[in-house]
Amino acid sequence: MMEHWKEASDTKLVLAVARFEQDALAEIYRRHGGAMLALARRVLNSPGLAEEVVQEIFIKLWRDPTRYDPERGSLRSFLLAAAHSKSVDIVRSESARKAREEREARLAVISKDDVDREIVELSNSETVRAALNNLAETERRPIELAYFHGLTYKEVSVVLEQPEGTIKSRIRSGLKRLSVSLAEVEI
Amino acid sequence: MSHEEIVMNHEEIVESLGVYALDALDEDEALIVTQHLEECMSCSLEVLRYREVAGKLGSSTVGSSSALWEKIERSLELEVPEGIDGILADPPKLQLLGSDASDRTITSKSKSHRSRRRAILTSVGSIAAAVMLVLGFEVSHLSGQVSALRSSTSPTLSAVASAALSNPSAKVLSLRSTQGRLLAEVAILPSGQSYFLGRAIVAVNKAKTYQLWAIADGRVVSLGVLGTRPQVYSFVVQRNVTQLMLNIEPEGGVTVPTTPVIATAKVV
Repeated sequence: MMEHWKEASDTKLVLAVARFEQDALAEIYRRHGGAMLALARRVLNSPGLAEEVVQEIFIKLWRDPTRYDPERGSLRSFLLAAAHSKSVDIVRSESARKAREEREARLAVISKDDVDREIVELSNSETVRAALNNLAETERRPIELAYFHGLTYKEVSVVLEQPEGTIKSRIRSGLKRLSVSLAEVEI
Repeated sequence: MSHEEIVMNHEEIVESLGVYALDALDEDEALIVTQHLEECMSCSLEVLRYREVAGKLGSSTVGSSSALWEKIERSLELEVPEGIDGILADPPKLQLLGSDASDRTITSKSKSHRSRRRAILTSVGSIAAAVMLVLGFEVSHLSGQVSALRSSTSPTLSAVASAALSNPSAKVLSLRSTQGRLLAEVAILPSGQSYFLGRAIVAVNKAKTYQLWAIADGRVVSLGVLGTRPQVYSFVVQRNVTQLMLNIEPEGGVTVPTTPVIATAKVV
């Protein structure tokens, strides 16, 4: 049954999920679940919590596939954004005090080497790595800290000792540059 | 600080879009940007572009975990599609309006949800595309324009719906069959709050359900699954809805119409 869906587009899979086709959801998981899990693990620093995040997102997609609108981007981006957003919520929530403390401890030891290493681990494409490396460090580091560490821009400004407005501007300009250089990358 | 205390002009919002796309804004600021995106197309498109970039950055070679999928799969077994349980709990005595109970297997509650879903899928089948062409509508099954429909047989809701029908400011629509038979009335209040009151509607068998649809901006969107014998329902109609339609679908409902419309009413 899974074979049936292997050639299907992501949009077709979501349509099938809307018709309660569990195998279609399994194929979506096969395609994107690993990336979601890796991203959630990176932000949360907790394999268990990361699994909960991914599980919750897939159950939500099963219950309400209309949450995904193909006109508003790829399914992968939608799922990764959901995984990231949920992970960040957990990291920042009061109920996850312990996670916050661990994260703050981690924040204290973030170094440039750590960031370089995680990009190598997290980026599966030479093109993505090249695009990141082509960014000025002043743009790249704020993006990495915000995205992979789940820091707010205010926290990034503290870590990098830069004004908050500067961090905002650099994240935006960096994303703009990446958008151009990654326009042709299919993942 | 509450979000009411934060004021961001357009320039400040634009400058925050990258941070917003990475979930790195504070909650209060994020709320303001979210509200702004509902009205500003250019900012909305910019955020979408950044989210695609983030998606590419976040992609990883780490393989997915089969153990996790098994956990998810077990959770899905506990999920019941909206409308199915209600139909099963209230089996109809009649099946008319072209329903064909004889060639359908009545689904029992003891069957697995997965089996039920497969039954639904089989029913939906391949006729969907053909029906779409006949209807000539641009169907957007993924649209969430219309709010969730609530159903009830409670006297309170019936009284409220009846009052809405006689409210002079309400727009009252008659959902009629092609032969002119009145199947239901809909009262739409100025706020958009609406009530569906079944009239000469007969029950369909439990393998089927009535489903209410709307045409909004040229698209067909589901207003909700009404069950086997619709009586009184409350829902919300957005201002861009121009027509209501009723048809009969497989139990649990579908996301795009798969059978001909049996009754329609123009909203404007």
